[in-house]
Amino acid sequence: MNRQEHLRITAARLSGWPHHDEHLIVDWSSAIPVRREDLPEDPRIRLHRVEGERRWNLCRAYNFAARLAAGEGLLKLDADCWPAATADPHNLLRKGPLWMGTGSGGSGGQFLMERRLFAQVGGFNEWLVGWGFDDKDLRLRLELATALPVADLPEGWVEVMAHADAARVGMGEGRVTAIAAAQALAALRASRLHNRLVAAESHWGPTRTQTVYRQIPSAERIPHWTAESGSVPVLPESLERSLARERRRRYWNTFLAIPDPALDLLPEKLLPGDQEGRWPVRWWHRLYWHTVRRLLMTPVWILAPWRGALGGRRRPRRRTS
Amino acid sequence: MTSRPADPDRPGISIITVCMNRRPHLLASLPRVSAWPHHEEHIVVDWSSHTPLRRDELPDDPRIRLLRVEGETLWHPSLAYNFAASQVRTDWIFRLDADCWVQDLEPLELLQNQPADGWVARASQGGSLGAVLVRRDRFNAVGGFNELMRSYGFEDKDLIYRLEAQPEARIGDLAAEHIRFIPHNAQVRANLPGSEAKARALKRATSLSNRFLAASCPWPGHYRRARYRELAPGLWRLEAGSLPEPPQEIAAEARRLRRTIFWGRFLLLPEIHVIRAPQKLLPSDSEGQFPIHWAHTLYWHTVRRLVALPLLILTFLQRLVG
Repeated sequence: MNRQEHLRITAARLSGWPHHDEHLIVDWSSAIPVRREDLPEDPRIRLHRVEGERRWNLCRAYNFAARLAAGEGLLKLDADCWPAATADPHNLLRKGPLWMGTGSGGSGGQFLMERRLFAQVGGFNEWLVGWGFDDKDLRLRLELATALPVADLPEGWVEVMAHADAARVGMGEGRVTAIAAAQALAALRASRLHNRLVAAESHWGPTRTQTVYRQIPSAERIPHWTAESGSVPVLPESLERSLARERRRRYWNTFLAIPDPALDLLPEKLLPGDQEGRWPVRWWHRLYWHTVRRLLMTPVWILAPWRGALGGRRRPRRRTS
Repeated sequence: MTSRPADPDRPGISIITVCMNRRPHLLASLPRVSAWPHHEEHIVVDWSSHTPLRRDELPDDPRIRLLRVEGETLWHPSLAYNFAASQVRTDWIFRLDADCWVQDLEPLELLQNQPADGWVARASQGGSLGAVLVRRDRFNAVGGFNELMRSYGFEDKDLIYRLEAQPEARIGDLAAEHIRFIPHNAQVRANLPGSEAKARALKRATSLSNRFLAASCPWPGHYRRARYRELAPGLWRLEAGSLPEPPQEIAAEARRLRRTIFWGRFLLLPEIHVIRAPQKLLPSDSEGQFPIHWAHTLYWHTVRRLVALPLLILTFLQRLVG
C-alpha cells in the first residue's frame, strides 16, 4: 500500500532470482494504483489489486495473496525485501518445512513455509490491524498447532531496504518531518499494542472465517477485487471498546507525552480515538507538540547524559528498516 | 481417587480457594460457602500468609481441606490455583476467590438447563470475575492457569479464553446473582502493603504485562507446571527451579512494560519519561515489587499532586455537568 518506490526496486531484484514460479503482488488500495508497466517484464509476476481498503492491513492482505498463490511453498516478502542471490528455497524446504525471519530488522516478518502449514493455522490473524506482532502471532500459532520446530531463516537470506517507520504505516516514502515521524511512531505503538492484546484475548485458527473477496469489473487487465461487505472478521463489541481505549492511551501518550491517567480524564473531543487506524491530529495537537511537549522533554534531556552514571541501560542502536 | 456423590447424576464438585494474607475475607466467606450443600470438598490453600491460617479458625465442615504452601513471597494466583486444582479429587473444579461465596446455585439444574463443560463469571460481574466451574479434564487439557504470568491480573480471563478456544468446548455463563462477593479495594486484591495508588498502578502494570505474556508465550505450549514437595501432611513447598519462565527476551520486555506502566500511573509521568529515566531513579520491579523510596513519596505528594490538580478540577466539572 503506497510503497511503489520500494516495490519497483525489489520487484526488479526478485525478477533476477531464478527459484520461484510466480510472484504475486497485491496492491492494497494504494492511492495511486500500481501499474503493470511499472514492474519488470517478468511473466512470473501476477499483479492483483484490492479496492476500497482505507488502511493497511498486513494480515488480510497476505491471507488474500496466499489464497491466490498456486505453489506448494510460500515465500512471504514485504515490498522492501528480496531474497539474496545465493538464497535457495528448495534447499531450505528439504531441510525443514517452516522457516521464519528473526530480529528487529525488516527480515523479521518474512517467512518460507509449506503452504499446507500456513493453511493449518488459518493463515495470519485477521483480527490484527495495521502493523506489528502479526509475525510473532503467526509463529506462535504454527509452533502450537503443528508441533514442528520453526527454524530461523539464515542471516542474510532476505535482504531489506532501509526506511523509516512512516513508510511502514502507509504514510508514503517522502521526506519525513520530526512531527510526522512522531505521529508514525505513536501509530505504530498503538497498533502493536492493539495486536498484542488481540492475540492475548482471542484465538485465531483454521475454524475462523477469513474475509471473502469478490472480483469486480475493471478496465485494466489487472484483476480487481473488493472485500464482501460484512465478511471482515470483527471482535466482540466489548473487547473492541476496551482495545480502542488502550490504543487511544498509547497513541496520545507517545505522541504528546500525556500520562495515561490524564488521558482517561481528558475529553474524547480533545484527544479522540482513531477512526479505522487514522488518528485525527488537529492544529492544536501540533501546537502542543511543538511547545508543551518540547518543554516536557527538558528533564529527559537533562537526565540523558547521566543515564549511564545512574545505572540506566543503554539500548542497542536499532537498525532502521 | 474420585469420591462419588450420593446421586450418580449429581456432578462431584471441589471448590478451590487460595488466600494470601486475606484472613478477614476468608473467615467471612467460608461459613457462607459451607452453607452450600452441593460440593464434595473445599480445598483452601494458604499461599504463605504471614500468619498461617489455622484449621480451628475455619468452619467445622469436614469438606474443608486446609493446605499451606510455604516460602512464597509473591502473590501468584495462577500458581496457587493450579496447586489447589492439582489436589482436587472430584470431576468438577469450582474456583471461588477468598471474598466470594455461592448463592442459590443448583449445579444439577445448571447442567440440565444449560449443558456445558464449564460456566464462568464474566467481566461485567465486577468482583465475582474469576469464579469458574469447569470439568477437571477440560481444565487440565488447557494446562490450568498460565503460570508464566506474574502477580495478578488477566489470569482469570486468559483461562476462560483458552477454555473457549478448545475444539467443541461449551462454556456457559454463571449468573451474577449466584456469585456474591465482599466489595474491597485494589490494595487488598493485590496483597500489597502501602497505598491504594501503588496497588492500582501495580494492578494495571501486571495486568498489561500478563496480557503481553499470554500473547507472546501461549500456555501451556511446551511449558510444564510448577512442582511441589510435601514437607509434612498439608504443608508444601515449591520445588526449586520448577517454576516455568518465559524466554529471557520476553521476560525482559514484560519487565520493561511493567516498569513503564507502573511509574507512569503511580507518578503521573508520560511513558517517554519513564523509558528514558535512569533505572536508579525509576527501578524495574524485583519479584513483582517496585521499590518506592522517600524521593518517590515526596514527588507523589508534591509534583504529582500539582500535576493532578487540573485533572481533579476537570473531574469535578465533568461530574457537575454530567
